[in-house]
Amino acid sequence: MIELKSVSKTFGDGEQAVYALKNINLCVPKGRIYGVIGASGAGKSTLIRCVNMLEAPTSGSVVVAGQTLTELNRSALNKARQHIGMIFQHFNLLSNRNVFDNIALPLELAGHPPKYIKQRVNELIALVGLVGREQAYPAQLSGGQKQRVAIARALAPKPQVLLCDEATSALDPATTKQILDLLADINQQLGITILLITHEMQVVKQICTDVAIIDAGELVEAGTVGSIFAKPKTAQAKRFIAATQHDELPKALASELSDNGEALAVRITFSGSAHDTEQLYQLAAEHQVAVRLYQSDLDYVDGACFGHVIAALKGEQPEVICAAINGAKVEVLGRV
Amino acid sequence: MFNWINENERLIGLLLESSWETILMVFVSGLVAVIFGLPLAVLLRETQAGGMYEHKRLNQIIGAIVNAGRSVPFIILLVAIIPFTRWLVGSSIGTAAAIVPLAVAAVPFIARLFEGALMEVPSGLTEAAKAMGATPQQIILKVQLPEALPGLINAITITLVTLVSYSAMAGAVGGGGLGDVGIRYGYQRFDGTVMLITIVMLVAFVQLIQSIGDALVRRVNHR
Repeated sequence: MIELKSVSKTFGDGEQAVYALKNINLCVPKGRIYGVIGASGAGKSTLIRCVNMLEAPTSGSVVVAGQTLTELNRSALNKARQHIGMIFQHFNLLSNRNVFDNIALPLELAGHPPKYIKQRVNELIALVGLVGREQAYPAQLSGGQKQRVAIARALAPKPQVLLCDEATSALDPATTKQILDLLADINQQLGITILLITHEMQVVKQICTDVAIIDAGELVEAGTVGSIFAKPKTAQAKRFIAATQHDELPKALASELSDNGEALAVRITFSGSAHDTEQLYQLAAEHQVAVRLYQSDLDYVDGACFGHVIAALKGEQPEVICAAINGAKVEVLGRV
Repeated sequence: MFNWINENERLIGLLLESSWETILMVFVSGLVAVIFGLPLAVLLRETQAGGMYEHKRLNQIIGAIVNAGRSVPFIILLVAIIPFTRWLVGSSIGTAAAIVPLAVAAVPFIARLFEGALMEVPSGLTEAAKAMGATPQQIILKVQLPEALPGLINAITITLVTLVSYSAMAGAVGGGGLGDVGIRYGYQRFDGTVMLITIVMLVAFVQLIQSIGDALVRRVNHR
């Protein structure tokens, strides 16, 4: 649905040239939620702006829904853009238009009759859950509501593609989750392909099917979210995954650790290939080992379990359990 | 009070007539300023760096003309453009003749104020409209101007108030108006009462313009 072929973007020229994007190749199949993650300044904003040509690439081609945007003239490009929705970190709503009129804007621009606009806008207001707030102005809305309006506005012309530029970065965690759930719903219900950029792995983990990691203007790694989490190849990918997990020892445990306690303290790390925690449960029952949990940080990505558990195992032979768990990494921390 | 009115029938007639002249001068030149100033401001906004029709050279040329217009003291502009005034309205004295230099002074003045109001519209809105496939004309008409509306109304208010003050000088070319009455009767004939009356009327007039302007801004501003 979206294809970038050897896209490069340079700002300025000669000695002062800044290479924002270097030879980017990216393919987003129809119906997927594709996340591009990178640190600030990595070029992810430039990348998403190249997809709808808000930034024209210096070289390479951009194909969206079968149309090569890099070859279109200005008016054809404007037509094509009507079918590529976009939402932004700071919402970019018109402050002097109310909710209804903000959502109606792209339809007015496309020249639809008022009757159709009214019906379509009301549909969208229901879709994003803002019934009753039609007459409110953006200044009267919360951040989450503003982003809902922006999503409705982006969806108004029935786009096939939705671009999300750090769409949740200005929102608190609870609102972020609601907005991501809404995006996932839209993807499911309407089959819209979503390309999003973010600096938070949490966002990728929650809704993306695929992820690409961008660093210093280059795509360093790409794949399904499951495969990247299971086997990150590059240091950048590992860093982003590590940032979603906190694995320092809990204080309560650290102060109790010694060489001769009656229980064995272990950290078990699951990386997608283990039969999650079921194995631990069964082994503990089998060998009559009691488990005390100190910390647990587990996530499920595509059905596979990622994360770690820090626990104390107390029983006859706790070491047997450690040896019997397959696929997960077991580290002995000491005794308590 | 009634006595004073009966005794000064001529003066009251004069004050009413000159009030009308002031209103005429201020609003007609204000209207002309808006008509020419708005496109000029849009041109200044869109040709500068980051605008939709970025054109450094054109921006510099228009900017220089606007600055030149604003740097000539009004009293000098008034007499300097007499040939132009005469060509345009057929005379260099009278209210119509006073409107020409007032409008000429107000166009660059309001253009810069309008430009400032347009600059305050966040660039993200232009970007969002572009992403929707809006043409540059649509972006100007449906996004930038409506979003700048409170600032534009403020600019009109400031310009009208300034024009009230300039219109007093226009009395010098026989344009009439309250300021002219103040100078001729109040100052040259040492009539303190007339001076006081014209000042009070001008202050009230300015207050009225400012209040209406502020009320309009409150109505259209939802930021």
